[in-house]
Amino acid sequence: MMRYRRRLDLLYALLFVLPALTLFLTFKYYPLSMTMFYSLTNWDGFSRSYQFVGLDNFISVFSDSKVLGAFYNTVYFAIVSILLGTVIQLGLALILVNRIKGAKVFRTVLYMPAVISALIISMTWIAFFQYNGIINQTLKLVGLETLAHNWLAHPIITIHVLIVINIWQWAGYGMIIYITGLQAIPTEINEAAALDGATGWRKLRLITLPLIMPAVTINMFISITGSLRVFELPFVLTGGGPMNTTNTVTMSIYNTAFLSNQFGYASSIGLVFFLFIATITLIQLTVTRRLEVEY
Amino acid sequence: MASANGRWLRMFNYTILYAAAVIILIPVLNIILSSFKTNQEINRVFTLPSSLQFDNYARVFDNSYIWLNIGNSIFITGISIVVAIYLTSMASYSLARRKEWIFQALYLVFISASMIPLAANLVPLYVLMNKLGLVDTRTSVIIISIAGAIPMGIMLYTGFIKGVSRSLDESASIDGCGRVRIFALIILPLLKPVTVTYMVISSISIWNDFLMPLLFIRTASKKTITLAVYSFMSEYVNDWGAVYALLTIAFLIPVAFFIYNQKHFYGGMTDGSVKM
Repeated sequence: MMRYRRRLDLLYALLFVLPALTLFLTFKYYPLSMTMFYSLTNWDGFSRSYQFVGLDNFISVFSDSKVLGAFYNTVYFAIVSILLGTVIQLGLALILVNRIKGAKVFRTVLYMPAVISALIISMTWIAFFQYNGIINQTLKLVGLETLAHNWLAHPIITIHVLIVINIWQWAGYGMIIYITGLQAIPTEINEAAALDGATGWRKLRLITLPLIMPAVTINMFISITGSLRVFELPFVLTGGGPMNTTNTVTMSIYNTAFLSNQFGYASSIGLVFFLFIATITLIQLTVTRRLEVEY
Repeated sequence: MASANGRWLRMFNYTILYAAAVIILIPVLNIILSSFKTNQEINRVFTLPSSLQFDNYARVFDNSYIWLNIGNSIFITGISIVVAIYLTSMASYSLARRKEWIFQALYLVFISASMIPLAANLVPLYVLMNKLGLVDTRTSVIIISIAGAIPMGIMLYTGFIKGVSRSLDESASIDGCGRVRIFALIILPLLKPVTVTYMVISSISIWNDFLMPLLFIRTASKKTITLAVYSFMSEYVNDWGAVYALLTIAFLIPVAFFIYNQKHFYGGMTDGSVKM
């Protein structure tokens, strides 16, 4: 009787997971396995027949300067966004964690861009960065015409414009995560640090930073996975140009599949992309976790 | 000395904060102001609109399916999140309570999928939806949104249920309650705070999604508001006044939602993070 009861419990427990699991396997893992399958073919997405080409697609991925360029641009975009972004987010958090008049309003305003679609954000910035836009007109007005650039069509500057917009959008979001981390530091620790004469930079580096490592772990995870997937910004603002300098991996996959009809090839870029993101995030989680301290 | 230092520091802090707030607000103010300008005035960026005219908005409502588009976004987001809540809360109950290895493994299966970028599955998802006859339907976007929301739901609910005392289930079980009734009558009501968090945070990411609607929806009347804004811009390149009006509407909806639900946004992120 008891055994029957326990079996029934287990059965129910499995049944509870089943609906979520079915949907998940069908629309997450089954597609991933099909990505692996298509990546070994030269399928164009429409023909009934296709050939197996072995690892040819992967050899192409690693010798295709356009795809390699997309990976380079994406990684560059992510690294600069995260490094600069973290400094700004942490800086704002360190200010807002103090007693500040209107702290709530500042928090709301700074967080706001994070709830807007990146597509809308991108369109909002066109008015500023287009050639006849607000930035160039302002520069003209104050006599700094020499600083005017073709912001959205410059081989070196344009990727940085996208980075700036990305940092702008996520500054408040990361800031909130750091504020939560800072508020979790017990007051005794801050008091003890003050008694020992630790202030400013030394206190930040030796006491505050190690203690907010959990917040850094989560924030890094979100920023890395988010910024490596960047799509809307270049899609709307540059179309990947000029000269593919803002072409990103997601755009590259989208274009290869749906503009050039190379489903097989697009799948192999996708698979490399997945392995790339998985490796980076696993390394990041291990490293920042190791830096976390107990208190 | 110390107090003088403190005063400078305070001034520095406020300067930074005001500067940051202005930098955030300028682009927002620009679209709102521009939405009231005529197309001639828009090019004169430093001037205010000559009069508060709603012509741009009128053209948006005349030339687009904006009500339908907003409706589609509400529909897609609403259905997705309700189904996701149902699926993940139930699954998490097992994942959090059972000690067998299979449930630990399943937990990992759910969580590690957050590392699969949607872009990696772009081709097979399209092929699959095509086979199911779901291309150019809202259903395709709903299904993918649910699948996308599952890892976070599992994470939030499993973490939360682990904190709910087991004695509750056990006493109910002694009283002769079946598993389903224990879940529905005892566990589910306790999950309300975490459900609100999950709802609020996932709604925003489903609402804001662009890539999936772009891939799957063609017909103008089925588009989400985000996709509609993009299509509208490509179609009305010379009518920036109308584009700004539509942008303003598309901007203000999630902002209003955010301001109304603020505390869930702030708290929710850490709820999710501590369990990672």
